[in-house]
Amino acid sequence: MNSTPQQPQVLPPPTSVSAPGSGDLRALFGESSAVIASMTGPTHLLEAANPAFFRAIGRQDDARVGLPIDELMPELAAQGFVALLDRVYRTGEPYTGRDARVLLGAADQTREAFFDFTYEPRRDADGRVTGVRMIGVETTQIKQAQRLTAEHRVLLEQIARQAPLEEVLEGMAKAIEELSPGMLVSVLLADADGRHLRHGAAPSLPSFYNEAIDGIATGEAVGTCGTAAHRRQRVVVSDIAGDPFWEGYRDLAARAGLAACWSTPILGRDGRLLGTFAMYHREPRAPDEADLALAGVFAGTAGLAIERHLAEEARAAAEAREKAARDDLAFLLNASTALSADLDYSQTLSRLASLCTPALAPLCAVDVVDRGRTRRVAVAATTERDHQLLAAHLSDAHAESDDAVTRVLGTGVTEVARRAPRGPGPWRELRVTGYVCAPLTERGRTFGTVTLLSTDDHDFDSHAVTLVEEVARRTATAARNARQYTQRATLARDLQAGLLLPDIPDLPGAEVTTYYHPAGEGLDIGGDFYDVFPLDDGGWAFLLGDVCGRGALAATTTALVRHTARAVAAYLPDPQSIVRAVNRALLQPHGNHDNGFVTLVYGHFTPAPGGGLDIDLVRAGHTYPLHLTRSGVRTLKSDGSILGIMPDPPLTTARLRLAPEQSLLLYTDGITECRDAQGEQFGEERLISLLERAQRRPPATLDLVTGAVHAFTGGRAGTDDQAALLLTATTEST
Amino acid sequence: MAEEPVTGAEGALHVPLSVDVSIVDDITVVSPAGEIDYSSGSRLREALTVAEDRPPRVVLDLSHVAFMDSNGITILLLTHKALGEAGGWLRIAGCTSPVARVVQLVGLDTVIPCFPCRQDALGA
Repeated sequence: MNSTPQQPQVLPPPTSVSAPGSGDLRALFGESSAVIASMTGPTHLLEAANPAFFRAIGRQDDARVGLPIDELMPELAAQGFVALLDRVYRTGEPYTGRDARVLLGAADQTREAFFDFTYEPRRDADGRVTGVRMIGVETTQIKQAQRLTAEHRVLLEQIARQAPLEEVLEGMAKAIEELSPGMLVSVLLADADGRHLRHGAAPSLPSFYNEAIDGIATGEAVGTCGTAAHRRQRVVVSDIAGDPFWEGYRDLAARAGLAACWSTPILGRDGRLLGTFAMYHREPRAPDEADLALAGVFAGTAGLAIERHLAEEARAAAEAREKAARDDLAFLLNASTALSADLDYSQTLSRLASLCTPALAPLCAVDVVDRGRTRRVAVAATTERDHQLLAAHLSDAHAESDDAVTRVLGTGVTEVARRAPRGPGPWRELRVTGYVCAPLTERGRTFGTVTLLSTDDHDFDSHAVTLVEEVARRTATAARNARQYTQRATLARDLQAGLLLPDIPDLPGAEVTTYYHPAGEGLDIGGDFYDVFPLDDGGWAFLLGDVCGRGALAATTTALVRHTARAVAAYLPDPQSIVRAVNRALLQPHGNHDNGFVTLVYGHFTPAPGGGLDIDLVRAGHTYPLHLTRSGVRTLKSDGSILGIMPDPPLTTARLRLAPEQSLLLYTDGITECRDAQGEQFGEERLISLLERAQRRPPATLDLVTGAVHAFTGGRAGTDDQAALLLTATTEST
Repeated sequence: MAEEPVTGAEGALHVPLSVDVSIVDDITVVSPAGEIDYSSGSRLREALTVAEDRPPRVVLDLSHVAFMDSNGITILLLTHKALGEAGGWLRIAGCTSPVARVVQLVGLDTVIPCFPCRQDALGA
């Protein structure tokens, strides 16, 4: 312990690395022995003393027997100990001190120590006091151990409270420096693979030194810490100047004023290297037991702090990953909801672009193949300028062979690149740094692409790529559904348009007003129909009817009825034969013909000589036509059965004349069967009484009816179509 | 047998339809009670579906039906067609006056045999 060895000392690792173990504490205070000194005479001449005494007072190298105590230890007088010695010598009464604090050593080398001691009188044979004997036990280490324990507890509390690692390590370093004046502490942290040490805490070392040491490799002979980390064993260098481990770092140490370095590795409970705990001194020094014990205790504590910190970081990273996964899921769920909410095909694709921006990327474009050409159908960007630039990117560019969209359309495989797309485009203005182009594929056919572009403010990570592929998949499904719906709705609208008269033609001596209100929307096509067409003999045919059922099949049936009637009217002489022809057409087997039951009123009208209209009509299972006159409403109750069931239905022809301003009203049962809030049906009676009460000129008559129906139902949608046709004989003057 | 009135899909109050099915002399007798319209029609249609365990000869007893609209007409016509294709027939019995009215309007009685009561329909 006296000399400074040239070779670094390798000492066994501390026995425990968790709490300060009993071994370390024993090392701290158990080894101290009694100090004994005998003094003679009134000047307290030191007659004899044991080695422990000299060690304790720090005058090991001068065994100064024969000197008065206050010459040997000048520091004692000022602290009152010499006065105590005088008193004991004078009175013969012993004195006992407990945990008495004394500053020992010369002015520049003072150490604080604590003693339990006794001054007892020495007597000669006669009982006269000849001197004073001092017997003491140094309690400094106990005190230090107590303080150490207290410091240690504070540190453990800090660790438990999850104070930031830096704080804990710095607090620890400072506490040790206070416990051992003259010592400078540094804690280095190992990186994950254990190959390098990084600055942890070193409150008293100069920054240039800490910066230079930061990142040193762990390895044999890389300074004390590097070697200790590598060997996972304590390494002591008592004299840096002469030590081979410090090759290359000697100047650095000299500049920092460091002459000795003892390093203890900090190991995790699984033996993993967490860092090193180093004690530096400004003069060459070798550690004593107390120093080593201290190092052991604090290395263990530091290990706890670091482990706790690493566990906390791992937990936070796992939580972040989980949150990211939850966020992804939330994004996808929202995306799916948003995509499916809209059944319009082009809106679904626009929605895709806006969903991806800015959540996944600052720029997004959606392209689809439409009749052999690629078309940009949606664009999203974070600024208006970028939006216009991207939207204006010509689709002709897709003819270039080196184009991501073309490739992805062909392969159906996502393409990712960390550079702007190669083909022409506003990539520089948009500051594009990379892209992801994902296919929109449905039933094995890639019908479009969604392209995300990153700019120099943003970048993709791999999970964004996965997300965009997932969203693309969901969009493809939603778009397919939307397209089918749109197509069917378009078909339905076309069918509907084909079924109904766009305009009522100009009629001689007659006026026709119609009302049509199908019950369903979009896909549902009504089963009600009407038609007016000219006959060869100058007269006109009119009809209104109802197919039992709805949907596309009902639509084909209504088309069949109308077209058959129009076709055969040129060849058949009267309404009844035409209606029978329609019936035969209905009975012929058709493809997916579910039901072809049709009720119908079919008639011919011709201007009557002298004004008015002559009408022949056939009612086949339909609601009774109403003859509206100024004096009332007459129900035309002619017999006739529903069509499409039997080959030869019973039918009769009714004849009537409409005088000028009289009307014939045909309507479907959607009007009379509609219900109010209480469930009551509108009914034929209500219709007739309504028409009788209010004498209106047509076409106001129809408005009257439809208004009443609307009021009756409270505007609620009905389940059946409504149609009406009002044929009015006009006066000559109109 | 009639259930509590409920508010139907249109918010309308109507008496739900209950349908009794029994087999008499190798003839299926279907007896609905209540109103036959858009909302209750499916229940009647179910009862009239051609089934393995029921003879395709059906007497539909309408004496407890207070109301039937064009939806019911469609159901009856479809049933008439289906039973005919299955080698059976449909007969209607006991039309109450509102039902008789719509039956005559459509001329259903010229398509499907109608009888004043169940017994007559079974015996014919």
